Amino acid sequence: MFVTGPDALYAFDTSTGTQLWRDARDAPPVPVAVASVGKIRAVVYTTGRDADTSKVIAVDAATGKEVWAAPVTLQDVSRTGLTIDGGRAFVGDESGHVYAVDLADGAIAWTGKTPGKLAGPVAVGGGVVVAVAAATDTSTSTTIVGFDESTGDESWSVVPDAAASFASLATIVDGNAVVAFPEGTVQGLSLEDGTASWSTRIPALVSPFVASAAADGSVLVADSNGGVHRVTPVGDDGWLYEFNVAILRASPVVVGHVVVLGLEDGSLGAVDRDSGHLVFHTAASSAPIDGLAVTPDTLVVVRSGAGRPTITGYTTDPDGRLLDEQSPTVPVPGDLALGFVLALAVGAVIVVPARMLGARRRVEDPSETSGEDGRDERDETDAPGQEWP
Amino acid sequence: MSNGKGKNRKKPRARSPRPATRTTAPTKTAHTASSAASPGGLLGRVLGPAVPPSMSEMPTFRRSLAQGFLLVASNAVLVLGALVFVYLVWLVLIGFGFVGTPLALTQMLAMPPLSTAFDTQNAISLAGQQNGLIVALPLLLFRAVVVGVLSGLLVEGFERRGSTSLGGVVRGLASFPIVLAYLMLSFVALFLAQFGSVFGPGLGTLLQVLLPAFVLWALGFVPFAAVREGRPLADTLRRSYAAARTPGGRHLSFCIVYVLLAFVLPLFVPGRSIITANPAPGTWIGLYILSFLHVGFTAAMAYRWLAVESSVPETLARR
Repeated sequence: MFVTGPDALYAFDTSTGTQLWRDARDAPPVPVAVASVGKIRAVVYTTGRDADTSKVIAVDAATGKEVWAAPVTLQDVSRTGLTIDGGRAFVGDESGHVYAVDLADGAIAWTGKTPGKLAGPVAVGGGVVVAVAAATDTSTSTTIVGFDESTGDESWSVVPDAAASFASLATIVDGNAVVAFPEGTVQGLSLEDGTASWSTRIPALVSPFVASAAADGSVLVADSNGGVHRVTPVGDDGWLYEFNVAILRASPVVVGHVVVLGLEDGSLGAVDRDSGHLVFHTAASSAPIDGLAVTPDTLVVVRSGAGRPTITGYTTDPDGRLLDEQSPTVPVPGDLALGFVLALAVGAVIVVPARMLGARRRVEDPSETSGEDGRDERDETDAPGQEWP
Repeated sequence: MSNGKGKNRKKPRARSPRPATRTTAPTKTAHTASSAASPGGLLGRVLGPAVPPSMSEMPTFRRSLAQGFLLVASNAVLVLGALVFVYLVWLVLIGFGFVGTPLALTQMLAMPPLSTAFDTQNAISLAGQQNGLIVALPLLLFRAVVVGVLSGLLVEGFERRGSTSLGGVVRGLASFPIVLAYLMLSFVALFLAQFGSVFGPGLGTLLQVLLPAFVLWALGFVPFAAVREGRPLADTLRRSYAAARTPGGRHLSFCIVYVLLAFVLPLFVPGRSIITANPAPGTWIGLYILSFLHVGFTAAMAYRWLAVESSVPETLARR
């Protein structure tokens, strides 16, 4: 398992959590990628805190030694992490550039440009590299750009109808790039021309650092309020499970029959993909969850926040019992009926004492209590001693 | 009916029939106060002349609120009707697939334009940002019925010294066209308030609080005037504005206090930020208390209108 911190790239043994090696770097923590470089299994990652030092580096996963003759120089700082596909690594930077790097030798195959800045990984699939560029100022809007994976030519570009400064990260699902827009729609943009193949509504924003997960033709979207939505292109079989805890940094991951969520209170939740019911929810932690990774037998959770970063591995608890709880957004007749009973009770608590105390007898019609000259006699009690002119 | 023992009711008169067609004329007192005062600056010209509250036709805050809450608290129809209405609205929202927090109900019985704003927000929650405004327009019809009926019941409640009847509902429904026009004006004002953000976060927020208060101040008497007088729209709007400028009424302060409370009090509703279809008991109770407060303030507003109605001049004084 490989993790970047602000000062180094770390390699850990996932079964024991033991640190195997570290390679110094000076850059914001970003996701790393593992790829084959020739016969070497390499870890590819970005480093650098400014445009002059921003680079892509590949190191041997076993030893931590660099495998390219020279690092790849980028034009600006990168926080997107890398996406690997077909012998290339794709990475974006804060100036909106998208780079395709040949893994074999670390050469830049092509460079594309988007009109904004890139906050998270680009999505690659169907021969298209999809980048979600956030607006750089209030006069511009977020733009989704599709590049030809081979040549880097811009295939299409989409600006949402409703102006928005950001959108979620893109996920490739069945020939579409799925993106959630701030006005509350999740859209499947055709990889061919960027047109919306389908669109559905969710009642919340999705963080610009979060991508959707896909499984069996459906898309699992985590919104910033803590809701997890299953949406499908045909619009049926959808569900929502509401955690009521923000999801801002960690994209959902599918593990078997559940989708796992990393929440801002540091807890970990899992929802059944079919029923939309809660399967488990761990206790809150002192630090929010930054990212999730899955190995065949371990779920790895990275937490940072203001305190010391932690990496926790979760495995199956043979004695554990799974939950089967429906979302609080599903109406429960008994609970709703309680609202009616309470309406009557609160009403009675107000009316009965008021009536007993004779409140009604003290109600006045002010249109009749005015004196002949239009002066209201109440003033004599409200402001004793003052004379009406 | 009155027990005739109220210590501040020296000359109780027989209750006249519904004074809907009563021709009102400026009283001597109002004339005197208006002409004697010389307001300074633009604000003074808008708000009217400065007169001590004790000399004003407008009831004091204390009396307005006391009478408003006395009426509402003593009338089971007003209290239970309001609370059950809030409950039923939640059921309807849930039925239409609303996913959100119970905050959607906190302004359900607020006076316009606050309630209009929340209708718009709920419409956006249901239909999305682009379609929400389109859905919000039909909701104005629904809101006009609610405001009209509530106004009719409150006016009748004061006229009949605490009791209400179907007649109040009918009078409220009859005021529908005027109330609808008032709500549409409020809607436009709220739309303009959205542009307050161009003045920055501080001034923009202030504008977003003050503009509803100003609309409430200038036009807040419209539903009650419509129920009582049944005049044409222009006349009703003008009379509401004139009543708001009643010398010494501190009516703008009343409206600002109400709007501020309407913004702040929901923060104390437990469970307000939990997205659920099944609010907890504490949340329901908080929502119901808040709704009761809204109706009480609305009743206080009705009381204020009834108190100054007869002294509102037929024509606006030119200064």
